[in-house]
Amino acid sequence: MSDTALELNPQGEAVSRIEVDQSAEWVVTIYWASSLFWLLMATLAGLISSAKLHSPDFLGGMEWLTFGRIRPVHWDTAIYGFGGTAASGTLLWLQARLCQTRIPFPKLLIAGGIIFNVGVLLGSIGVLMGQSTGVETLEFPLYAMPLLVIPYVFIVIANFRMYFTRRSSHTYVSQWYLMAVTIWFPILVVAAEASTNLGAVDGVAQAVANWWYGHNVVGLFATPTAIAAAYYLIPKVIGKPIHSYHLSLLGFWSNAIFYNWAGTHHLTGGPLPAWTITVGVVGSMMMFIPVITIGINHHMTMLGSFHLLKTSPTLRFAVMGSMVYTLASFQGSLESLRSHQEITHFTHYTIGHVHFGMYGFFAPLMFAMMYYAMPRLTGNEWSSARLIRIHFWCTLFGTALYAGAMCWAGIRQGQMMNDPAIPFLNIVAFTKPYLWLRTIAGLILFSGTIAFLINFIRIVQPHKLRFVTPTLLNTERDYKMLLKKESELKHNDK
Amino acid sequence: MNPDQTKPELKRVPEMEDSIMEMHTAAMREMQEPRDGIRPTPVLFLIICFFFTMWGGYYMGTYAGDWTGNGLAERAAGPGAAGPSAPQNPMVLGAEVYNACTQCHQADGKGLAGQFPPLADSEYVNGDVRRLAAILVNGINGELVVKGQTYNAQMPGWKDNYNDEEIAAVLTYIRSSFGNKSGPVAKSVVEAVRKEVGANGAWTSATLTEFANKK
Amino acid sequence: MTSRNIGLALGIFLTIAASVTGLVIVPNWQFRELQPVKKADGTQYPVPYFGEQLKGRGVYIDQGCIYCHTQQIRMKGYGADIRRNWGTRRSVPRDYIFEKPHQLGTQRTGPDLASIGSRQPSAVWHALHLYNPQITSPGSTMPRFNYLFTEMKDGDALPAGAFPADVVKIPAPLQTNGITQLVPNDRGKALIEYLRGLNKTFPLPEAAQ
Repeated sequence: MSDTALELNPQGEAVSRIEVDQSAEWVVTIYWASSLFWLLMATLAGLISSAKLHSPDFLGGMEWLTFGRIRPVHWDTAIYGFGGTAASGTLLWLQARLCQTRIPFPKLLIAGGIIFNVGVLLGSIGVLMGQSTGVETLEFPLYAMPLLVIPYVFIVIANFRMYFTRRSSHTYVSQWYLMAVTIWFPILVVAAEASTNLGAVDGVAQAVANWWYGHNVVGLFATPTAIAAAYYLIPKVIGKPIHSYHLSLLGFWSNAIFYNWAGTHHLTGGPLPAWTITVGVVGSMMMFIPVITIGINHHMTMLGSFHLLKTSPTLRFAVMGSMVYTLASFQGSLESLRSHQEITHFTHYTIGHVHFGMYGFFAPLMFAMMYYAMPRLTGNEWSSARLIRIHFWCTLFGTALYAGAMCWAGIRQGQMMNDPAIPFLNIVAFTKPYLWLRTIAGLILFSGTIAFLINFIRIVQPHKLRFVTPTLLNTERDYKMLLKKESELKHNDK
Repeated sequence: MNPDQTKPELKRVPEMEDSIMEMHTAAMREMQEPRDGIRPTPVLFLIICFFFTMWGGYYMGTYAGDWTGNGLAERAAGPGAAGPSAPQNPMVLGAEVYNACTQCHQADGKGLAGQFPPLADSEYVNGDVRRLAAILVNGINGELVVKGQTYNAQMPGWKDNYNDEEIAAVLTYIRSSFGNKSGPVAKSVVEAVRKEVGANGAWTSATLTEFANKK
Repeated sequence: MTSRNIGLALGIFLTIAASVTGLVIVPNWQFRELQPVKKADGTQYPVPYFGEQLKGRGVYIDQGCIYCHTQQIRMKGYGADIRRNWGTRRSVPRDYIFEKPHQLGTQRTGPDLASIGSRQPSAVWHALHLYNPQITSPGSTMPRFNYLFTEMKDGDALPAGAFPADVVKIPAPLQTNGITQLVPNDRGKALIEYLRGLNKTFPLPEAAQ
């Protein structure tokens, strides 16, 4: 991790990239290793929750594991634990690359990462021990939340520092999204905590603030980070420019304006004035504009390069993410309509949609980022193409099964709930097989994550020998040969 | 990406960092950083944006109530709001209403031993309809003997939840379900009971018997 | 270059400032004067939680009941909440002025509980249901909250502080492991009191819309 002083060769973007990668080595790897840890924890908590819904006596009788505690832990470790660290690592590396600057204050950022992890851990344990705040998406007790906010302030400072000392005069579209994320997220958290757990707002107004926040964690934090990643990775890997600058502009601003207002669609039909729901519906439906815009930009850029999906792991995950972004967003926009909500509100459909978006769009783009950047941060290559393929197919198939089962079950559940002749317990019985399918889908997703974990553990280990060609999906890596040759070297060196 | 980068070439990591570039082959082989293309924005797309904007404005204008905190009505009440206009089949309506009773009396009408009385073969269900309607209207608390068993529970009244037709329907339903074979209950019976004692609180076994004897 | 930077940052900030104003500040301002109404008998509706009910609400929150149950009734004709007897009228903002934090909920894996106290006043029912949902609701996927109760076998002495009236007999065909009776512990009692108190049937004028 030496800090060699390199002079920037104007013709050598490559040299500046190396400088960036060197500065990022420890910081970003620690954030992404944390994200993988939390993804495993979140998946485990999710599996337990899912199992308890169709088999309520599974791990039953233990207060700390009751569904009402393990389910919010799943959610919070997934969003804050996995999402927070993956997005932070992505933001730091991507902004550094695009600004062509080193990552500043690496020690501070690493300390921040550790504090953040402690915060998520304390918050999760707190909820399991019965100290949940009772506010959905903000369940972490008040002693844990500052531990999530303070590290993020460090990231905001680092991001601004990189941006304002950047070497290029033109800012690329990804940088706008990253700038937006750093401004939006702290404001979101502070305003939300003030309104809910710090009691500044009461009653149903609190519910509006609650879900303004809940949806904006997805829309103004996870989504822009993933879009920034897609805007970088897709043109980068295929070596073509992004389709249209003006569409990038339109997509960014329409996203910023409309997504902010979509949150109240979580409260349709509730004890609220009509206007609060209506602005949520309009905000959600107007999202068609940025989604189509970004869709045109990404999909048109890919035209003529789809054959590269056969070989590039990064591209496969990135394109999956970008395609599911279009689909899941269309689904979400339509879902917000009052007529749709009359059926799907309060059902498993909502859960199907959120996992379609998070595991079909956000997670794959984070994976794409890691598959691309980790070789550059560590100097090693991925040890097994087969594990990458397993990871990809498990992600794709698991997400499809999850979303399909839950959305279909949700529609039928909602229709039956709206028919008062159908006893409630019959509806519960109907959903059970689909809840089993969800657990199976979760196991498939978990398997994919394990495949990724193995590759990740191997790539972060220091090696004396390494592959110098990229791990492509149609080649096999002989990792055993590397290990064998390494031990021979060790033997010869002695 | 070169198509012939498929051989798993192994190279030794240099001991001294004398060749930064050799250490970072991945960064060296990359394509250039992404840049923006310039393409004309498709006209069709702009038309779509226009239509969405128009729809958004229309929706905001129509469905925002009066924009105050009091404007709750999201839209004119849906088709189910007014309720059915023609009298419904009591067995169908009664079955629907009965779904609210199953938590105590259970789906098979057998109740819960020692806690909630059965409806199957019950003297209260199969007996005097005026007394039965009175139970539904005002509820009943405290000790009650049904089929020789003593129960001590709390049943709420349903006069605020259901209208006369619905109460008559569920009574008709339970009198001919679970093995019971008694006749239907007319809406007028419930109407009369509600008029007579609807203002009262819940019955006890004693006050209910008194009411039933007073014909 | 600097003006474009500032323009970007300012624009981003303004988009969120707009939604904070619109969705956090304005609704709070619109409901700032909502007060309870006086009932004919001199009491008010709604009433702030206190005592056992407040404690029970804490149990409701720490058990995470909100993840399966809602507490809001949709209007007649939109869904079938009222026809399912989950409430006698739609719920309105005034119903929730003392809810800190709100427990509106977003999932109906289980039925709505806004007025559960009005349709289910029986403490015995709640005790049986919470202890083992299969007793009252066979096929339910609700977990058991056995740790909110003291289980008793025949001949066991009452736990300290419990009264004979607190004892709930489990219906004989559904007894397992020789456990015949239950006594809710402090938290169980509080939760049951909270649930029995949930009642949003009082007719409010604004609910007539």
